[in-house]
Amino acid sequence: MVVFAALVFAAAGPVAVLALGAAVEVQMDHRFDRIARDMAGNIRSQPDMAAAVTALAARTPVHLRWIALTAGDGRLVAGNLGQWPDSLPRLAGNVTVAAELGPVRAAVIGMADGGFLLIATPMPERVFLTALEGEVALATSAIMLLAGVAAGVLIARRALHRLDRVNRTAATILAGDLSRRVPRDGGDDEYDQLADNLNAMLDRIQGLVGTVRGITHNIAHDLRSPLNRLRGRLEVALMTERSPAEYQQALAAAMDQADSIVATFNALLTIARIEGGVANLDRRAVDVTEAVESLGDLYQPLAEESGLDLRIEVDPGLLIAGDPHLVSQALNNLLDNAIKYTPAGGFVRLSAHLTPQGICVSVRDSGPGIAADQRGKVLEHFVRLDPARHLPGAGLGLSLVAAVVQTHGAVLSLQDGASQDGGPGLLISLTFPPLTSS
Amino acid sequence: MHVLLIEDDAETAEMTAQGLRESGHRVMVATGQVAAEQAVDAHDFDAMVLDRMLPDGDGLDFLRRLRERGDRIPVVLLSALGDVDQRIEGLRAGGDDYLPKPCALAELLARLDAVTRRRDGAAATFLRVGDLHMDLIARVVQRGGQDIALQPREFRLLEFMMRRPGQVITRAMLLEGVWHYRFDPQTKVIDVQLSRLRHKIDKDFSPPLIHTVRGIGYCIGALDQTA
Repeated sequence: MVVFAALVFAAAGPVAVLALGAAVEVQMDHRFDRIARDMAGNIRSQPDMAAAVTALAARTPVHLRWIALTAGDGRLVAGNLGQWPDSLPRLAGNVTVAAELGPVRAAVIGMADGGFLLIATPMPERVFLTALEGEVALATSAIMLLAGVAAGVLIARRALHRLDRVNRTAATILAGDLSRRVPRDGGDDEYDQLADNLNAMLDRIQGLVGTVRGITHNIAHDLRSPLNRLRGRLEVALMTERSPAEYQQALAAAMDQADSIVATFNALLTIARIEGGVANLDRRAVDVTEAVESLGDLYQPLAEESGLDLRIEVDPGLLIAGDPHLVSQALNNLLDNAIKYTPAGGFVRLSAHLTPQGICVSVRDSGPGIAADQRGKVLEHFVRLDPARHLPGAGLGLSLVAAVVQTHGAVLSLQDGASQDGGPGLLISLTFPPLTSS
Repeated sequence: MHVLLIEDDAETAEMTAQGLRESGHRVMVATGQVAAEQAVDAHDFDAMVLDRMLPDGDGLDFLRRLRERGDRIPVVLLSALGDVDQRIEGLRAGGDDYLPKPCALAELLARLDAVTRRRDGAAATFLRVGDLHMDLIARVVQRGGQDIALQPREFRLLEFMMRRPGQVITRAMLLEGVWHYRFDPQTKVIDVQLSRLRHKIDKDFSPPLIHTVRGIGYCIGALDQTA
């Protein structure tokens, strides 16, 4: 590629020189032809053309111009030449012929008696000019070739150098350093655009890897503690001889611990399945009214036991498209959280209404609420707010809600519950698109 | 009862079989469809526990063949595939119940018990456990001739239990049967519901009818161990 470009470059120089030379020659020829035509016209207007030619020849040196007049029989009548030049055909017209000292531009004009008038201009400098043209062409060719190769090599090296930097960055990233980025040259050219796109891709990958790493870390953390407790419990139980009743108690406690570990795994699996299977989601008409009423029915005794005023406010006949079990589970988790975190004496409202934005299911409580700057974090995997650390499972429950919201095209919002009695409270709303009849 | 356990994982099979035996059942283990088919031909079983993922294919294929030739043996399906869709698929193939793995042994025992009992009470409109009576037409519950006022959900809960007297009823069975929930709410909602119901049924009467089966669930009436 580079060699081809350099060759084209090198050929272009001499071609230009030769073309220029040819143009100059053509211009010179035209000028000499015009002079000859004027002189011939002048001679032909004289009564005695032979005398006029002789007079002209007498004052014209032969190295500057050839003048000759022949008669009808070919005999030389007048002029400054000893004879008709050999190389020149006796034909009317303008022609360049070679002579001893160089090319000669000749104009041959036919006369009425069958003779010819010759007016020619020797051009010895043409020899020099042609030689010069050749040399210049050669020189430009050489210079252009060198410049072409040099420029080609420079461009290619620059391109290769930049590709090499991309390659080396990629190699470093492959070796494990995800923070590296492809450098830009600031030229805003295709290379910088490539760098920008690669870097944007790397940013996204780094973000995803970070998320996955965080999730893995949290899974390990959340499962290690209960597993350690389980092991510890069994170890302590085996330390000394105990009564069967004590063994039974220890084993039952160990079983509860194992159950909660299995429950954590199940929650993780469910979330993974929801997030991984948006396309396979079992979409049916979900009767939100019924789901909300049924949920309220299930939780009413627990709410009363916890000293909470649970009220259900629901519009009749609310339908959405989705998986009824997942929707119920998501609402269950929200209500469960509200009841868990609201201190006795407070209230929890579970409501479902048709709004201009869609079907809005909300849970409002008079609990401690969530600070505005923490709300974004609440729905991330496993993130638990510090004040709630002593209550298990809250993080995963909300992660499941987030996954259901996402797969059902719903909108989730967290607001202050604006309770009248003390606590800031929390209002969590899920707004689902209503079921379309189509 | 005589149970055929079809499970390819040796350790799980061993543990489950031991649990079933210690609960008074006879157990035979088959590790694949071929072995299961041979066992079914050679013995009479009262129930079957069938794992779906077997080394020689989906356990559902075996179940379908069984049903096609008219075998009505009660079958509890076990599967790591816990999706609602797969559950429905399992029940359509002829399963009587479907449990996601891992499941507690007590849950499996309760389900086995439930599927092997004859459901001749399903259409009954009058239920009785001891001196507790339920009239489903009049929507009246009486104990010792005295009316007991129940809320609608308490009525449904009691009906579900009274249709299964003497059986262990797990929390999951109650959630599924009364509220149609197939997930674990991770809260003691069911326990609170039961304590309410128990308060109304047993507090002013003797003997108590609703019993807690520790770590498993509940039972109404004397626990029937003969199954």
